[in-house]
This record gives sequence, structure tokens and C-alpha cells, in this order.
Amino acid sequence: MSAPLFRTEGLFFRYEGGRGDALADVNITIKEGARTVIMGANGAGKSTFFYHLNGVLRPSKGAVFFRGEKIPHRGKALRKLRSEVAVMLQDPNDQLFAPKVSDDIAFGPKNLGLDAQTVGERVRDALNITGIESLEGRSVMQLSFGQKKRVVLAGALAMHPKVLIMDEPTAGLDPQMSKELIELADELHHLGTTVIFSTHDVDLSYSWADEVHVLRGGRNVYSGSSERFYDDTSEVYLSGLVEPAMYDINVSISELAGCPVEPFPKTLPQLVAKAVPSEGPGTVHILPVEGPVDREMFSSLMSGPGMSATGVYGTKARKSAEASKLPIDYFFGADEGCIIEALHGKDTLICCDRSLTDLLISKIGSMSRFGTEVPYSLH
Amino acid sequence: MDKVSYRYGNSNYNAIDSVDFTASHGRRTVILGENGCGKSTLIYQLNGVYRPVSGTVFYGDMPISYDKEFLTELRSDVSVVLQNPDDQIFSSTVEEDVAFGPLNLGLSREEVGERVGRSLERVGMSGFAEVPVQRLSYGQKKRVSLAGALASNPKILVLDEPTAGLDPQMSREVMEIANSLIREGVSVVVSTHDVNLIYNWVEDLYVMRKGHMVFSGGADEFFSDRPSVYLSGLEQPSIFGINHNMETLRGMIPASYPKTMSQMVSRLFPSGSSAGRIFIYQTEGERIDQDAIEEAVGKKGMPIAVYGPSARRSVTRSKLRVDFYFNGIECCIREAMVNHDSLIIVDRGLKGIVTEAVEELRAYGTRISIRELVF
Repeated sequence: MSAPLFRTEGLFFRYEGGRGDALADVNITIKEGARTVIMGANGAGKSTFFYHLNGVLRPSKGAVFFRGEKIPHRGKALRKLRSEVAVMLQDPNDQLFAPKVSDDIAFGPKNLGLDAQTVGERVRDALNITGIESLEGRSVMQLSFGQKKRVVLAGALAMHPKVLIMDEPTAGLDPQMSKELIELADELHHLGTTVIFSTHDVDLSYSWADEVHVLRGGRNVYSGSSERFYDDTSEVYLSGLVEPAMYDINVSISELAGCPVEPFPKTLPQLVAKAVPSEGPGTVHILPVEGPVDREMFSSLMSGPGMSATGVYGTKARKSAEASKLPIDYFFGADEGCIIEALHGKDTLICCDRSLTDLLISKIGSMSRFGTEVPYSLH
Repeated sequence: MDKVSYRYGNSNYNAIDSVDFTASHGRRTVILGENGCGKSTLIYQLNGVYRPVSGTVFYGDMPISYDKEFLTELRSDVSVVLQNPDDQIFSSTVEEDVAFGPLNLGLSREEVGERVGRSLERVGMSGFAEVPVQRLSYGQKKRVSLAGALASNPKILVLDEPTAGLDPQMSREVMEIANSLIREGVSVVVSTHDVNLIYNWVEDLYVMRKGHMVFSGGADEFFSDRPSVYLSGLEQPSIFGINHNMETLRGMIPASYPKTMSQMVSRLFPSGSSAGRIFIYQTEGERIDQDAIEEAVGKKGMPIAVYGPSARRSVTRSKLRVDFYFNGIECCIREAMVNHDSLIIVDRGLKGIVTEAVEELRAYGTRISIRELVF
């Protein structure tokens, strides 16, 4: 968990003809497996920083290490790095080259020298996990911004990267699509790909990150937990950011109610539970899914008394629920949605990818730190 | 707008279909919807750039006639700020670009210069008049295109995704500018998918889905209907969600829906008559003497907040230490709720925004006293 994945040492970078340093004395350690977010206003140096992690830019001074090794800038070593560290740029138009969707996704794996059959499998899997099978044969030109973003993500995932870096992944996406993307990031991260992204969306970052690194004018002004950063109001202001809504509300409520600000709620159910402890929370029923959903089991659980809503969690579960036309209330955000229902004393049923059940259970378990033990039952 | 449909040349379906929409005088109107739902297409009907394939667009009581004379008048009254500033900025320097609109209106050089100066100041770009446009960042270009719209002194200002691509501080500034325009009698229409941005701002809400207008009315009515919100590709604003859940858990009715954090917190923990006071100082951008203020209040080291572009200029000029650069009104209210005095420096004429916010809070169980400082 705490082994350094990337480490920069006195990193400086100046663009050719640039008037100042785009990055100046940046010392950042990104830990393996930590959900990491790079924050900062427009022009703070977030993208420039990312270009150093996959060897696109070479430091003017200082060094960048990946798993203890200095990042290469040429030859076989660079190709290996790029196959392990995938970057998704903010504007998908900068990254899509092939005229057809499937060709674009196949580009990376082909370059790895994989045989045609493996390439085909990887493309199919990538289309599947990003939910864009129907776009396979389409021309890239005809796609919307959000669809293009997914194609780029599929292309990155087809490389089976160890690290996925996303630059402003939700910029330009509408709220539901953002939610989908972050849920997917959650899933990938849980299954072993370290996900790192940059954003100036403070609410998104607050709910997701274990650790944030804040850049301002090319300098790294903070590394650590979100809540400690937001405690320093003048630094938040200077960095062009604002306090996340959850942070702000928790501080205000805690002050007025005279209770400690800690623990800091990061999600809506956590905040609600902390402010108004639930008396008789409902049960979250978890139905692990691998392949088609067990319809009989689903119906019998559904008919239970007090059952109020259903949800899906994970890409595969979502697919099979869609395929078998199950009545689902929460296609996205089922984790929070169903925990909220539980706080209101209602039972819910979540069809969950088998590989993600422990992630879902840990999210439910996190509620006990906020004063409400939400019971669950694994079927 | 009465049953307006529009279809792009090469398309076989209507981008907007039989849409009814009204932007009323002096109101804060929002068109909400996910990407591709037809928001921008609708906006282009408002300034006559697109002509409906069926239905009628009215300006006042007059159907738009699409002749040169009518359109010239329409576009001098209705300014549209596009989502992407690169679609709107054509001239080589900032000053030329902002001057373009007023020059087209046939105003004198002097009048144009005055308007350009005022508009640039309003968007915080005063020092940039001579700067070549291509040297600007995305956020700066967005401000310039807004300044260009303001320079025409529009009666109606239409902002298409005004905060897309801006960082959070800049987004709040844009909404502050919109607020001050409303107070000057300008009608503002905002199109967006950012539910949190507009929740405490909107008066008349319109929601579009796949080219259809699926809702018009109050924001709370819409957000209470979760399936509709979901089908429209949107989500509930955080304040709405928090209030809704906490109040039902406490066995209370979620209405009247608080719109700001301070209203919500006050509803949960009404603090009655608050011991903290808010001092207001109105400015036109002149230097402020902090000692004089502190002497008048009889207190040193109060937190200081700013609201509005002139106020920001004042504090920069006078090198004042400011605690709350953004969201100033909310911050002062929260200070008062925990019994702290604070000072807010506002643009002359914007005092009403502060007093209204404090007035609205009474409905949620908190009373705060306001004193204006006059020298």
C-alpha cells in the first residue's frame, strides 16, 4: 500500500519559449494503491506533471522515478513504461487517430506486438467494460465528446496498464456520465490498477481521494489528506480552489451542534448518519453476480417485506441486469443510494460483481464510523 | 417561444421539438439538461441565428421577423455568450474584441471606449486591453467574451454553459456578475448541466431531454422527482439531497427547501437571534482605510469578506487582509451563526444582495443583525 509508485525529485520543467517554469521544484511521492488526485486551478501544471509520468516530457532539472527506477525516454524501456502507464488526456480529440473506433482501441495492443486473436479479445473486453460495444464499427468523427472520452479510456484499458492516469476525466461530461466514470475508476482501482487523476472539481476529489497533491503555479504546495488541506483557507484560496460542500457542511454542523469535526464524512450517507443517527437501519442485501443474474433468487429477495429499491454495482452486474431486463432503481450510485435507503429503515437489494463484493461491503462498513451500523446480508 | 422546432440541415430528426419556453423580464431563468439535449440549439433561436422550421419565437409581443432591421435590434438587446470562447472571439486584441459590439451599434468612439473599460473592469480583465487574444488562457478568453456581451448593454444576457472549463473560484465570480446584472434589471438566462451551480440561483427552471422540454417550474418540484432527474441525465443538488434525507430522518417535511448551506444548517440547528453581526461597507473601488473601519466598529481583527468586482479592486488597492474572497455572503452568515462579527465589502448597489440573504435566513430560524458603515 505504501510503496512509492512514482517519485519526483526536485522536478523542474520549462516549455521551449516559455516565460517561466511550468513545474518548479516538485517533490511528490505517489503511493502504490493509494487513490491519488492531483489538484489545482487551470494552468497550475497538472497536465505537465502527468506528461512526466509516462516519459513524454523530459525534466529540465531533477528526476522522476517509477518503482524506484529513473523514467526512460527512449527505446524499449520507454515502450515498456508506456504499456504499464496509460494516460487519458483531457481532450479526447488529442488522442484519437484511427478513423474507426475498434482500430483506435486496437492500436495500443498491436503496438505491444500481441497476436491478432489476443488483440481482438482485448478490444472486446475494453469495449465491454466501458459500455460502448455498440460503437465498435463507428467512425470516430461521428461520436459525441462523452463517447470519444470512453473510446480513449477503452484504448488505455486495452493495454492492461498497471497505472491509469486521467487528466480532468470528468471535464465536459454531464453529471451522470461523470458518476459512471468514477464508479469505473473505483472498480479498476479495486481490481489492482492504480488510478490517478487530476481535477479542479473539489467535490469529486474529496469523495474519492485517499491522498491529494495540490499544485499552484507549477509548485507542489500540499501533499496529504484532503481535510487537512481544506483546513488552511488561505492556501485553498491561493490555489484557486474552494471547499467541497461535504467538508463545509460538516464543519458548520459540527460547530453548531458542538460535536467534533472528526471523522470527516466524505459521502452523503456518511454525512447524514453523522448529523442524524438512524434508529433502525434497513438491510442491504447483496447478490453476487458472475454471468447472468439468478432470476429466482432475485425475485424471492425482491418479494421480502420492507424491500424498497434495487441497484447494480459493477460493470458486469449492470450488463446482466440490463440483459435480463430486471427492474433496477439505481443503475449508478447504488452504493450510496442503497445505504441512504437503509438509513431510512428500508431494505434494498444490490446485484454486485462477485469481484467487487468486498469493496461494497467495506463501503457499507464505513458507516459504523459515523454512528450507524448498516446491516448487510450476502447471498 | 411557442411550439418551436428546429432541424439541422443534414439531419432527419428535430434537434428541438415543439418547445415552449419563456424568459421573463428581470428573472433568473435556467435551462438544464445533459450534453446534446438541445440547450444550445434553443439558445440560437433567442437571438434569431436559427430560424425555427415550425413554431414562433416572440421578442416581447412581437414575433421575430428575421429581416435585417429586426435582427439588428434584437441582437443589440439580446447578448449570447457561447460555451467555447474561441467561437466568439475574432479580433486580435482584447480591446478590439470587446469594442466590436458597441461599434456595430454606431456609438461614438468615446462612448465605446467608456463601455469597453467598464466591461473589462467588471470581469476583472482591466489590465488586459492591449493584450493579443491568442495569448490568453481559456478562462481569460471566457471573461473577454463575457465582457464583449456586457459592452452592448443588453437587456437580456444568455450564458451557454458559463462555467464549463472554469475553475471553481472563477465559476463563482461569473455567477456574482450575473447577480449584479439582475439587480440592474437585466434578465439572465443560463444553460448548464451543473445542478449545484444553479440550485440557489434559479427562479424559473426549464429542463430539456432529447430535444423536448420536459419540465418548467420550480427547482424543488423537479428535484423531488428522482426518476425524472435520473432520466434527464442529471442528479440532485447536494444541498437538496442532504436536506431531503436529514429532514425525513428527523420526521420533518423537507420543505421549505433551503437553498444555501447556511439555510440548511440553520434549519437543523436554529440559532435564534444570533449574537454575531455583519457590517457592510459599500465601495466603488476606492481605497479603504482599515483602521477607520475598525475604529467605527470598535473592534480589531474581524474576518473580512468581499463581494463583487469593485470590492475586490478596493481590497487589492488598500492591501487589506481578506479572509473570504469567494462566497463572501455565505461565509459572513456562518460567522454570525457561531456568534462572530464580520465585515463584508460589497460593490455600491449590491448591499441588497446581503440584506436579502440575511432576510431569507429568518424563515429558517436565524436572525442576524446588519449594520452599514458609512464614512
